[in-house]
Amino acid sequence: MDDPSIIALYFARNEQAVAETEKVYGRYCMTVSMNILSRTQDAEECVNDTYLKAWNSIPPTRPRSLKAYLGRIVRNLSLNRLRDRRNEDLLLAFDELEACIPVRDEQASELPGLINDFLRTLSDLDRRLFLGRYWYSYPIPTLAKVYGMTSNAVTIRLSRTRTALRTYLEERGYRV
Amino acid sequence: MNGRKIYELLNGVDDAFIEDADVTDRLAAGADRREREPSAFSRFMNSPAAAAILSGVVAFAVLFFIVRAGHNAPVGPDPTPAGHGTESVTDLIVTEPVTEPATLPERETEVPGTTADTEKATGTLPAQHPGIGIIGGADGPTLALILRTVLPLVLAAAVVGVGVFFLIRAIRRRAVLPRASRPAYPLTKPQSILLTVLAALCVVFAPYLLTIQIETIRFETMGLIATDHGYEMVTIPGRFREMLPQLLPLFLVPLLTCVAGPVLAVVNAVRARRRRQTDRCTVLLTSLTAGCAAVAAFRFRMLGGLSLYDDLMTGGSTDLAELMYWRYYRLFGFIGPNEFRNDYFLTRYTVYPHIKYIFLGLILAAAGAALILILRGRPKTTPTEESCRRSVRVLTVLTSVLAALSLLGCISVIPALFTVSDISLTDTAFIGYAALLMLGLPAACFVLAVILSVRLKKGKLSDRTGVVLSAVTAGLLLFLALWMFALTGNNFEGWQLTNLFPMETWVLLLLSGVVKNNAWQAVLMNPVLSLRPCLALAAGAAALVAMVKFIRRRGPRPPEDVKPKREKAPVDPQKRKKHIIGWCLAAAAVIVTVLLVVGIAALINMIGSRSGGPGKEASALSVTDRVLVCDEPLPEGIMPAGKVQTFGKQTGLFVRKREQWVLFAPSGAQVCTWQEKEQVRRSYTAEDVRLALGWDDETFRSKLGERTVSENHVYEYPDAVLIRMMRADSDDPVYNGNEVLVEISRADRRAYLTACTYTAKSQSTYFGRVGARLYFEMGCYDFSSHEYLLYTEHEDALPPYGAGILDKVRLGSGQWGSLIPVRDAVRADERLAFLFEDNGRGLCFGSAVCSYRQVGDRLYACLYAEQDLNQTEDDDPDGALLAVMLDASDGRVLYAQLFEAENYIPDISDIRIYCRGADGVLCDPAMP
Repeated sequence: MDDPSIIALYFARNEQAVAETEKVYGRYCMTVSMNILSRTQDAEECVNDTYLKAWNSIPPTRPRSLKAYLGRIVRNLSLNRLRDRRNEDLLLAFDELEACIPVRDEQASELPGLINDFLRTLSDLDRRLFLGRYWYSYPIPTLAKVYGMTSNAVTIRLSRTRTALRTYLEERGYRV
Repeated sequence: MNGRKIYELLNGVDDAFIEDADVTDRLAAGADRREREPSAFSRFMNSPAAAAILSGVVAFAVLFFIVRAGHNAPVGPDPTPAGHGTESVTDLIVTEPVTEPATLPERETEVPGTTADTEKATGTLPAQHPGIGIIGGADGPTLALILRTVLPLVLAAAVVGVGVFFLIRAIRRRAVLPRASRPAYPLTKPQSILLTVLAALCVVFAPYLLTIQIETIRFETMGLIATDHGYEMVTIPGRFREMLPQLLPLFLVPLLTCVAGPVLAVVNAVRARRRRQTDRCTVLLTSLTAGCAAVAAFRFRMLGGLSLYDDLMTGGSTDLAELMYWRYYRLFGFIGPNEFRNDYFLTRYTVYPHIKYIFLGLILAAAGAALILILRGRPKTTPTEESCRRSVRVLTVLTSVLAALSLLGCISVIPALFTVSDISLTDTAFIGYAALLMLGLPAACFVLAVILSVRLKKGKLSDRTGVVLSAVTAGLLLFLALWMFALTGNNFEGWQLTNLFPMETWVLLLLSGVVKNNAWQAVLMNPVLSLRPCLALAAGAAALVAMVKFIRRRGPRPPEDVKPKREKAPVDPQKRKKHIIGWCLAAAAVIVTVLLVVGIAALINMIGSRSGGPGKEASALSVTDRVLVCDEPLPEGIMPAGKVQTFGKQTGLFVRKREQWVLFAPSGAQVCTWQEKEQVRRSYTAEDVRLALGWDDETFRSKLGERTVSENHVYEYPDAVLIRMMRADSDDPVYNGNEVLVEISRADRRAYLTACTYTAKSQSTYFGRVGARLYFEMGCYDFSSHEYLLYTEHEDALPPYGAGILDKVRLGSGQWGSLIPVRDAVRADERLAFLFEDNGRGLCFGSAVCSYRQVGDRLYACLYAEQDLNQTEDDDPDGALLAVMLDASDGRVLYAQLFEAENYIPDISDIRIYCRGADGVLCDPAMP
């Protein structure tokens, strides 16, 4: 079943919508959550919460991309759940991002737009690697395997992307 | 804004990008992702405990080889015959045959007959010495060479290689993953100027220090000999090759720091100005630069076993490095060639040796100012948990290595303990105490660090507990570092520093006096093991850093974020009581075990040394053996040192060794106890002396003033009594003009005023009748700075050669050399030994031949040697006398014995004697 049909089920308040969502995006949501939490039980709970949140928010929300919508929900829920746990790999990603997007709170609202603009300037591969690492929280070896590269190559590409992002932001008045 | 919030900012990324970057399906094509729960083994291997254990094991294994090989590297030719691996009285006999001039004797050479003679004379066979790390001997020269030189180098190279590999990996990883790094803010002008000044200072300073280091190495291979014109430096042939295994680890760190300091400073300044590094990196590099400068300036004194205090006071003169200052200044044209004088005494307390401290002060000031400016400019942030974790990890690794090294040190010294003879219960207790302190403190620090690490990892560590634990660890480590610095810096000279820890210092002194071969000193001053103070200091700094981080984390956090105090389950009082009792019993068991081991070792040796059993053989250098060596009557004229006194019916020389007095008498040698020695005291009065002299009161007073007889210094001889008289108004023998020596002949009951001296440093060397004569012959004191008078009214009372000596003494302002005419005669005729060295303590110099006498085919001689040429005029003289017995026919040294002059008993196990040939070149004393 495609996204519009599933969304239609949500709008019809048909509980089959959740089942279909799980059927289509269950693995996806589980992957995103597992990347953050690294623990099956917690990830399953987050995914279930994601379905509940999607059920509650659709309608009125009509997502353009159900995948991205569910991804954001499950990601945020997983991050919230992570507060009382540790994930070394994710902490590493936090630190990496902190070194290239060090902004103050008052500037935070403008950043998503800038980051989107920046991502548009990247090559497809670099953008996928960047989001794969920092949005989906994939470990570097996993990204390397998916894209047929060495871990070192992925690391270096990510490093250059971060440096470019930092420069991009600094040029627009964001002091790192 | 922390990383998590930034992470959440990415929620705003376009849907299209998110969909595009999704690789779930592609991953699904492969194996399903399993839960990333690490295995137990993986968890263990990633834990700090595993890192600590592994690094400790590796460090232990590698360093063990290095220590064994490095520590036991020969300093000079081993007198031990090949294959024995022994250390006995035969070690004192240089048995090498005649070799080429200007070459040192080969180690494995043995002269048939010589050893056998000695064994016959001593009645003891060479005993197997169970001391630490005897390498060589039966293993053959090839294996020994490999073990001593090649293996440590290979191991060291491997360790360095692995370290460099991981360093490169870390640098690359850090370059691409600058996690937790602070951004580099542009340097302010003062910061920039300070860093540039620091770099310039280091660059100027480096060649200066490097010159000193290299020349110091050269000095290790040189000897100082006394000539008619003063001191003269000579290179001992082949010594550099021999000492290379020892010199390499000894000077590796100072040399590296000499080079690393300026390199770090320049890199730091350039990168910081170009904003190529973070502030944290700038702080680190600046600190390292200052540390390198300090280490290079102090030349890593703990490695050389010399005291920091001594270095500071004399400007590093203990190894004659002053000459290098002169050379350095001449090199740069500061002084002319004529001003370069080969007389290091003149340069001791000048400003030149201290120039490096001026440099060092400037460098430290610049570095400190730069650090303060940079640190003040850094943004205030709350340390993350990961940051704390890193600090604790560093602390754990450092303490684990420290504990491993301490364990190694304690293990190394255990065999030496079994060679101890005449050890008292007090010594045993102090040895046990020292062992506990040396091992217990590092172990405790390691345990604390592991607890800190584990609790932090499990999330069970509140900030308050973190502060407390890290503070305790830091305190222990810093105390340990200071204590170790004091220990390793103490070489009987750093009293001012070591007085901070009198008990521990005393332990060291006891040990060095009790344990043969200075095993404790060797262990403490081993180049590798001596890294422990630095390691403890570094670990202490890491603990302090962790503590500061915990404090900063604790500060700004809101109360609700602070981890609540853990609810403690009610403890059963009975159970608690049992726990306390259990711990007490365990601690008591450990203490008792250590004391038992040490005590049993001491007991074995005590029993052995008294019954002539194994303990005696193991302690080849015991007093008894020394006596046995001297079964041949020693002529009166060669009484080497100590106090010539009467014991019973015998007159001889008493050499104090702990609480025994070794009596070397013409009829043989004995050992008597302190109590027995006390019985020989006699009371004489000044009136007795006056009557014996036959003087009336007026004459007596006019010549000698008011005098009293010092009860402790009446020496009785079969034919005479020697009485030392003091001024009546002072009992201070140091005070000038106090001393009068009167000899009363038993034959005619007449008294002869032997000598009246004005000396400031005689209190440690009262030679008695024989010694009084030697006293003038020796030239062991520098009379140039002291006035003295000799009364020679009764020249007929002087010994035959004494009169001749006195003729040559220049009264009033005698110069060095003019007082030792015998030496010249001896040197010309008999090629007497003039230089010896004491293993591991640097060179000792026999600056003068005191006396000699030929009896049959044996030539006996006495040399004076100053252990420490830095000794000031006001210091107690701690020189020693070396008695040698040579074969008069071919000049072979048959026996050598070092005697204390005061309390100092040097290690005589590795005395080597060199002679100077007709051409002035150092050579084998057996050279014809």
